[in-house]
Amino acid sequence: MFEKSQVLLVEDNDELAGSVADYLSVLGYGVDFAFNGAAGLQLLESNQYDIAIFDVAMPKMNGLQLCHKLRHELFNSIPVLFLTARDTLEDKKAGFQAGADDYLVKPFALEELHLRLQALLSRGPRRDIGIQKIAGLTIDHNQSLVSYDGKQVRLLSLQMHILTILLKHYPNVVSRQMLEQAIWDGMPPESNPLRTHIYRLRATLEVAFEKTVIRTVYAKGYQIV
Amino acid sequence: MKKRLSALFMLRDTRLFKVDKFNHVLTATFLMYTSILCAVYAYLLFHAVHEIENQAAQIYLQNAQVDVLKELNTIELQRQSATTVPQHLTMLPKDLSRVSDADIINVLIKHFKQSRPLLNIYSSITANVPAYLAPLSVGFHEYKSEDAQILVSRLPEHNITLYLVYDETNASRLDENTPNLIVGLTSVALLICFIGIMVSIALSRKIAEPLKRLAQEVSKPAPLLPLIGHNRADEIGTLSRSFTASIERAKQFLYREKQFSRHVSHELRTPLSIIGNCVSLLKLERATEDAKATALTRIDRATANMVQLIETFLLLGREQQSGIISPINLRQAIFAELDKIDSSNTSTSTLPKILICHDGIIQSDAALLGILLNNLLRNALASSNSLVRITLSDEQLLIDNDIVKDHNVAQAGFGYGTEIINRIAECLRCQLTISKSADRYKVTVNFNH
Repeated sequence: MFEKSQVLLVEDNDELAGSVADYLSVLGYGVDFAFNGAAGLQLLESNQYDIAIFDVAMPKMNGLQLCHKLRHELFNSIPVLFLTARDTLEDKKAGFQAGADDYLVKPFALEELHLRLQALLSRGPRRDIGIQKIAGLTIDHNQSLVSYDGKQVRLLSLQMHILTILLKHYPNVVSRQMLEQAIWDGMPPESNPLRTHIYRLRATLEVAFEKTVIRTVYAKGYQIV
Repeated sequence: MKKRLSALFMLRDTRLFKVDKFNHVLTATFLMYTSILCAVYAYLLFHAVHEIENQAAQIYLQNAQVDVLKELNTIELQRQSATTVPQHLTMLPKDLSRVSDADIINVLIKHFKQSRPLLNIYSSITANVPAYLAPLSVGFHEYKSEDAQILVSRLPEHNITLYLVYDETNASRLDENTPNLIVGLTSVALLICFIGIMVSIALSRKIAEPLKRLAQEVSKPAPLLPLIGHNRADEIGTLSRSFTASIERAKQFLYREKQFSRHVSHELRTPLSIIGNCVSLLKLERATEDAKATALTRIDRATANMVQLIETFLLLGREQQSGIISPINLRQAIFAELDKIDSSNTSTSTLPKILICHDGIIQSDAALLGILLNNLLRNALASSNSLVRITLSDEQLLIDNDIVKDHNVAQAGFGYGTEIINRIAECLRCQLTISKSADRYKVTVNFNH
């Protein structure tokens, strides 16, 4: 049932991470590693996962910070399970407050981890994550819906991506280079489609909401108003 | 209920026994001093009263002497002028020329016995002169065995020695004010005694009270810090500050011990988890042979790791660390640990930059030193984003790395944990200094501490 579910495992101890990954791989999960929080965040930004497993104490960025960023900056609603040796109630509270869905204390039985992963995967993404309210707009990142004044519009994936980047930097201006870097890793197609995508996104929003949502700042870039 | 109350009081009394005893000792001391003061006062008062009595008796005797001499002179004049005898001396014959001196003295004695009943008059020419009067010279005398004041005077014309004797037991009746004076002085003495006692009790309570309250605070299971009297400038303030500092030190020590135990448990959990995970994998029927072989290798490594951990903790737990001390080349030790990290940790991407590296030789425990260096270097390499600088000069090692932006260093529990590393440093007798800034993290190890 959960075969081929993609799991991101962020754990600083490579031996422990390897042992967990080997077990999950035998059960049919696809497992990606990251050995610190910063690397984990990069993987989460660039890949789609069905579930994430985080350690808490890690170099560069700890698991709590990573989970917080996942929920509040990437608006990612995938289930998150903390796998850690920190066993106090305070530690667990901090984990759930950061946005975790489950908490498993080391040492643990891998079978239990597997059962918990199954339970979390069966529930699907969290419904309370991914709703962003900014500049009068309400954005549902899970369903790519944007609402304003009782009116709603569904965006395409790339349009949603562009809007997310602009909203992330609101109210600042975002340059073309920044957008191209974020969307195409700095290597946009030769047809230079950014302008077209922006034009279509702007038109979609203006027609739906009867107001200007994206403004072009001459020689600088684009800005949410 | 009564039993419970009495038990409660007994407990309270037992707890505060020493402070109450101090209070009692203080009260007793004050009372002793008050008693001595009162005794001195009473002694001085007694002497004062005695002196007053003496003075009063002497004045009385002087007056009596004047009266006696006056009467004698009168009689003498009448004898010479052959005039009539004064009316109050009717006991004398009409013809004074035939009267002897002894008769005159006897008449005077009888006369003064009537007018001054407290006065006894003797003379050298009359009978019944007490033996103790004979050796006395002219002037005032006190004869204590008879409790008497004596005035001896000489009548040179008649060759008579007069002894005027006054019994001192009646001295207080000499002057009407003397009894009142004695009563007043005694009342004052009693009042002073009473006030002294009250002041003693009040003073001892006042002095003992802060100490008592401090003792109560200290004897609580979890006293609030700072303790009472922390800001006082006296000895109680010093005591309070010392107790506060001691309690804080004890709390810190307990906290450190708890942290140490927590870190030890954390460190042991990781290899245990690996072993448990690998055993779980080995039980899976679907597991491939390669996966099983990898699991066995992981179990081996985790077991070795646990053995090393347990040996380290056992060594740290001993009161006297008795590791094998040998000369160690610090530069070689650092390179050896960097090689170990490089071969074991594929996740470490930051390359160290070694700026200066002297060949410092130190006397240390090779195993513990290796653990210390490995943890410090591994931590720096794992936490850094771009540059780790390792500077070794003689017997000082500086590891300096950048910090990833927004990364909370305080939560970066990595390697063996700060508590364990500090313990290892203490055990190796080296000074470990950690300094943090917004973007850099520096660890200095002084091996010659």
